[in-house]
Amino acid sequence: MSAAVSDDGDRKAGIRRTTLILFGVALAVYIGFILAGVLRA
Amino acid sequence: MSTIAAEVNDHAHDDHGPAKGMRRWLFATNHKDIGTMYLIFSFAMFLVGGLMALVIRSELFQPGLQFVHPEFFNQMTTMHALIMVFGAVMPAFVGLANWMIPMMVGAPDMALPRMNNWSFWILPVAFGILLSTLFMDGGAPASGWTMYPPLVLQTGDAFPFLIFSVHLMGISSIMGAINIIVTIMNMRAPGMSLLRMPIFVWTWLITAYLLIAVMPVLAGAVTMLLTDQFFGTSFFLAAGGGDPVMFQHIFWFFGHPEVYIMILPAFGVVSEIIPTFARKPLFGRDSMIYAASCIAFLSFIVWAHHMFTVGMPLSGQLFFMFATMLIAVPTGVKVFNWVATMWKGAMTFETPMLFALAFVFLFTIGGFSGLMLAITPADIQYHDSYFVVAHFHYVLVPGSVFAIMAGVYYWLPKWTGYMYSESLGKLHFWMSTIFVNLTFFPMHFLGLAGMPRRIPDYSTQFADFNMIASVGAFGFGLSQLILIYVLVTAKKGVPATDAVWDDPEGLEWTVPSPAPYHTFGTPPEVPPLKHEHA
Repeated sequence: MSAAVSDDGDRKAGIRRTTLILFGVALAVYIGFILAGVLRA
Repeated sequence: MSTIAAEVNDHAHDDHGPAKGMRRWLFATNHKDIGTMYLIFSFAMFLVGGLMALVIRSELFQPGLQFVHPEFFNQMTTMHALIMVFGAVMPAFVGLANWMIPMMVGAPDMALPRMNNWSFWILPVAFGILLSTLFMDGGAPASGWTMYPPLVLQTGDAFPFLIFSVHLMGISSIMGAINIIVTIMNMRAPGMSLLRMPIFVWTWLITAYLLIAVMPVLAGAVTMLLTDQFFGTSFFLAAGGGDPVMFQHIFWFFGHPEVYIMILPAFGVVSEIIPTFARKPLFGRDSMIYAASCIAFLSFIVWAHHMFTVGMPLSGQLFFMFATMLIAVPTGVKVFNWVATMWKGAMTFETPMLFALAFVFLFTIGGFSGLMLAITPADIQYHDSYFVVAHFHYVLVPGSVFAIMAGVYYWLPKWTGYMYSESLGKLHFWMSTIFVNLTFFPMHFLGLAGMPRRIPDYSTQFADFNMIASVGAFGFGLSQLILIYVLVTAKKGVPATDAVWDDPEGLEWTVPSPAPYHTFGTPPEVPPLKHEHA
């Protein structure tokens, strides 16, 4: 994801991709910790 | 002109300024408007949390029970902490990030402006819910901000509201963090490579990653508390086969990186200010970035130093002790670099620089007492004493809060277009610095003498230092009235120049003061860094 991306489409795709990845990571951590609690209980 | 920046600029030509009335704020998507709302909200929460601190210090002015019931005292300590951590310090840094990051990286706005609006407006709802618990049966949460079970499960009607408000705060923080990362990774002007980014942007990038990694952990922990209370699970209930200590591990796996979430952006602010007023490039610029990254990594492997007294194997004690001490190395790199930046600099001492200097000195005191607490056998003595209270207040008040104040004074002329009153700023600084030390320094002695934290009454041997701390707290509170006056009269000073200060570094100083409602419609040319120039 270069800073110098000048193409609007590329940049929008980059924004969408980064957003989805980060949301996915946050959700995975949330569910992962609860699952770990379930498995340990 | 095929970039998003250009597109935003085209929209800007459609409507030339902000919307009128409340619509401007309710439906705000402009990063400057949202930054302003964050800063105002956090200041309001700072005052509310501060009033709660004054209730605590009034009760502790002398031994015996004077003003409040012990139950209400516990509610005050809990609410004070939750409000200051999640309502004051964190939103203040998000406010600074919203205002400054797009301008610093040459972007027209944040990458996700509508989500930006959501992440702000969730906050007043979350804190409205939290504050409403003060009026419920059983009162507000009183188990401490750490919400340890089984104590927290004895909270009255407030319990589900506490959990819901913590979830909302977490969602807000995660959305804000995602927005910041996406903006930095995708919206930088051509030529603004990662290593050229201002240190404030770097520290926020690292902080945002920390937020995404640990806020869901807190959310998971409080979700499990909720199901333990209402849905018959036993994650943390010993009677049902659960483990209350497990909650402490999960909480502090969130809680220790949270400390760095509140201090890394402060490092960034100070790293912007000191070079400006020392008139030298930041010493060891790249090492500052590596040190911040190193601190962020280490913050994930030290959580159990908060729990030495619950018991753990010797190997665990040793690991967490040494890992904690290791953090002193990158932190030392930072302090060394700030001092080296000032070395032989043509220093002047305007208000932002005074706050930044006080930060370096006083945060370091908090850092050193942290090192003392890292030593396992010593910590077992200090644990739950006023020494701990002194330690984290030194890190958070003359640390984080002073850095926020430094940042506000530093960038205020860029926001308003006018210089604030320097004499009032300095008066605010000196009053705050004197009283903050009067409040928190005696707490070291109280803790070492054995005074426990979170108690409304104490032995008479602790009376003198408590009296001094209470006088200091009221003095510090009153000092903030000067800041309110400075902010209210912020637009009555001398008009500020574009650069505001003497040759500061950064794209934000190339735009007019006040910064136009829409900046960088076309990507700016990124100048070389000063040390590259040299």
